[in-house]
Amino acid sequence: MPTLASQGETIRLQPATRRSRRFAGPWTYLFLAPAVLLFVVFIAYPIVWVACQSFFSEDRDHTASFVGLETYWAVLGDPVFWIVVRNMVLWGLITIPVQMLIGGTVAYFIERHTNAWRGFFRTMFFLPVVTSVSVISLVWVQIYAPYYGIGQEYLRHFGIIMASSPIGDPSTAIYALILVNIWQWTGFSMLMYVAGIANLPTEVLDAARVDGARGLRLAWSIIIPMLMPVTKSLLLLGIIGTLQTFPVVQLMTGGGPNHASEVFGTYVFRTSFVLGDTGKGATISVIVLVLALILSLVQIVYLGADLAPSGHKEESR
Amino acid sequence: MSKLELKAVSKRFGAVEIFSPLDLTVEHGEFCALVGPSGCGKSTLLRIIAGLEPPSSGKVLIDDEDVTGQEPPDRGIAMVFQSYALYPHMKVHENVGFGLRIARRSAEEIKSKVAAAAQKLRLDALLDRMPRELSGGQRQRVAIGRAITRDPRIFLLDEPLSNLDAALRGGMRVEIARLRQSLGATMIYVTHDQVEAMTLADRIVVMNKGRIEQIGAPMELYHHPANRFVASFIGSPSMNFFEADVRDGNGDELVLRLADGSDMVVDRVISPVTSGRVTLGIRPEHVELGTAAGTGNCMPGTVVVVERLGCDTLLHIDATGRPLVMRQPRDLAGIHAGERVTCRFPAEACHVFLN
Amino acid sequence: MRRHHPNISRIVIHAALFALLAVWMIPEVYMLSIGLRTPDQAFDATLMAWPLTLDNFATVIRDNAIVSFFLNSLIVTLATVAIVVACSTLFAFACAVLHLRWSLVLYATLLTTLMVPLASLVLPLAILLKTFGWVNTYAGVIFPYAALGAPFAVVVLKAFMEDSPKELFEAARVDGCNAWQTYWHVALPLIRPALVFVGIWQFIVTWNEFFLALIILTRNEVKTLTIVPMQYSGLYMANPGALFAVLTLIALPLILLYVVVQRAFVRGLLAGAVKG
Repeated sequence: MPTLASQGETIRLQPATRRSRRFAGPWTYLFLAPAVLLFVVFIAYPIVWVACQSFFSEDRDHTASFVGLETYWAVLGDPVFWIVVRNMVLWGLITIPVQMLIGGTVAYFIERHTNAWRGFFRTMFFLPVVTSVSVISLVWVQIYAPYYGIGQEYLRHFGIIMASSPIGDPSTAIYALILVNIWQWTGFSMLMYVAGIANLPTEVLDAARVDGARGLRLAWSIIIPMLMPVTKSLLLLGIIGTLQTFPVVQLMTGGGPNHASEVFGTYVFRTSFVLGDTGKGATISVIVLVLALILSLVQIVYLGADLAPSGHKEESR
Repeated sequence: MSKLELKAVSKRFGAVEIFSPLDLTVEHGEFCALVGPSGCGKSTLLRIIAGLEPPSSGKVLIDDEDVTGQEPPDRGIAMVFQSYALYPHMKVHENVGFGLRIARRSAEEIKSKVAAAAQKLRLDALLDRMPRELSGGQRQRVAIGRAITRDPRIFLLDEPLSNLDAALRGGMRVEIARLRQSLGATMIYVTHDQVEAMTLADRIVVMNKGRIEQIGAPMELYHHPANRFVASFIGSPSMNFFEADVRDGNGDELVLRLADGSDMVVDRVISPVTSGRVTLGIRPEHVELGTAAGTGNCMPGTVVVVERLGCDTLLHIDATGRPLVMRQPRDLAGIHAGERVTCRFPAEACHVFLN
Repeated sequence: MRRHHPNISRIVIHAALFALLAVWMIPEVYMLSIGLRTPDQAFDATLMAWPLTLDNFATVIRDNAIVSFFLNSLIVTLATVAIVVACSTLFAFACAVLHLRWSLVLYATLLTTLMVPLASLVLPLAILLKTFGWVNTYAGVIFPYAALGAPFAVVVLKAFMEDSPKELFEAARVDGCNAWQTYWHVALPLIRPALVFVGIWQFIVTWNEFFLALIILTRNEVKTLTIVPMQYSGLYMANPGALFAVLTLIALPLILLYVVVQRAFVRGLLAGAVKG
């Protein structure tokens, strides 16, 4: 019954063009338009602008002159820049693992060992995330305050007496800020792990239990490895979050004392808006941007691009 | 009721050819089943007929009208999906009437058509339920109801029963046959289950690796499979095959020599073979339990497993190294694993295929 | 042990969780407690001081335009959430369902936004918004927030749509829907849990955004709640009771909102992860 095709060639491609009119015609590109427009105007254009600007220097009479990489060398030669780098490294190295550890542990016990109180715990530990960061900052300033802050009061019970506020001391300021950040964002790690744990396939956990894994053993050899996607997302989000750090520092120390707690946010803010040095501000912006892209790329190359909550795999399809 | 024609339709994704140009005609009111193993291209073919996928070349004609470039709703087709694809956020009556709503039909018309479909499919009591509140069989009926309201010229059904458990599947099969009689519509039915194809279809299209292997009525495929693939695909359990050499190809009978040296004599009704290597095929239900002192066309073997299905008994036999399945319509209470038996191949029931 | 004494281990775990939670909640309780103190207790270094008084709240509500800041926050946040939801669902639909040519390239480009720290954007954004004449306007923060928030929403929604059964969209097409009708009648209702999650998250992030608001919103008429505590910290330097009453009032709306919607939020988070 089958006969060979002869007219096959002549009508090729015609179907696709005609049928496209109604369901998937060119007009459907309008679906992409709003997001792309936002991106071009408010993300891409500023980036290009700032990149160009970083090669210019503005004089007193508002004429810009091309200076090439000069501002870059100036920024790299600025000791404050290196304090910022050190602070950012400290920030990332401390906050990310600590948040994962506390958040993960809390999530594990909430999900596996509570029932009636589960919703309550989930909500309460997340509250700092939804508390306005500017409020948090002022509350912690009060906590850290000497004489009347409860932080100092509690430390006294352990025999630690500080003469001044930890955020007023250059050697402790950054750690004091990191503590606030950990306090605020651990709830986020917790909730991500909660989602991950709640969605673990029960068959695998049952199989592990049949194999005799229980308690810590189960957590260590089954649950933690299976939560890797969440951990990867948290790492990526943590690094981006570290580079975003601004409000806590700006409100609690302003980057001081004497630049001891300076981060990229405050550094850019001070240079661009307080000192009004657009060229240098632009250069720092570009450096932060490049750093962020490199860190993200390194991570995506080594760990894959798990980004969405609970490790949706985007690159897998 | 409509006629469907495919003319030299082919499909490729990039460099991968799903199927080479093929022709197919489905007549008015015919129930045509596309069967084949998964990946044979049957579902893609159905999607091309539906208009969800453009063919790489060729034409699709419905009632002699070229619909190749048309959108699915313009073709007058309706489709029942494997997963039913009920809109989870709509009640049953909204699901059934959605197509009419999109076509901006009046509320009364939608209501009466939904009611008519519901009555036909005994969905009346379910109209205000959500899909998640329905059982598998009920969802299936809703999916069919959604197809009916469109008054389609052609029904397309993509593995509609494969998500149901075995017990329901039998019932739904009867339901579809009944529905088909009451609607009298042209139906194209994709399945990998040859039982569904055999019981429901007027005509079966057997596909394999993007090619049509054979087209024919169910019994025609059963009795006269065109090649080894069709022979093995139609019928359950599958046909037994043995490699053989033609020893004597002249006369009314064909003499084949099997690998163990024994000879088999078969009728040469459909085998235009005179020499060379061939495959001898015989269905399990045609193998006879011979006596030990059997004369010709016999093969000795040892029973490995006995499956008692109630009405039938399946014997899995080790015939000197080669597996052989036979099906006997009786109890065979006396036969157990390990027993030596003799299997007789009636000459008129043997098929011979060219290698 | 655990097998034989399930109740004991349950009690121990609950006790430990409550203890940790108690420590964790100290700053929040402390904030509330200072706001509820009389002036002469205000500098006591204790978590709670008795008796409680609502005088501070009465004072700050009487003296200040908190409500107008609250409305500013509400307008900015709701507008941002609306824009983000609209743009990201459309974009995700085009990528995941329509499979438009080049849409994946655009998607990858859009994703880079996730890695751009705001610190590197504030300067050019400030200058751009100045050119637009959008400094001290709602639009001046709404659109940048939407641009910064949309990519994350797109990631979540696109993954969610791809995990939805493809046959549903095909069924819609057979039923005669065009792309827009498929989006509106099928895709949007289908992704509702993810949409709720994305919307709530965007709400939280926008409500609490500080950096850009600090630079763009300098006049009192447009300031959002997040940036006003600074000016109160100067104003009520000597009266922490009043300051913390203001802080409590600023923090409270979002906390209450979260408590109300947390169930839907977590459900969306869980639903987004179910399919993977």
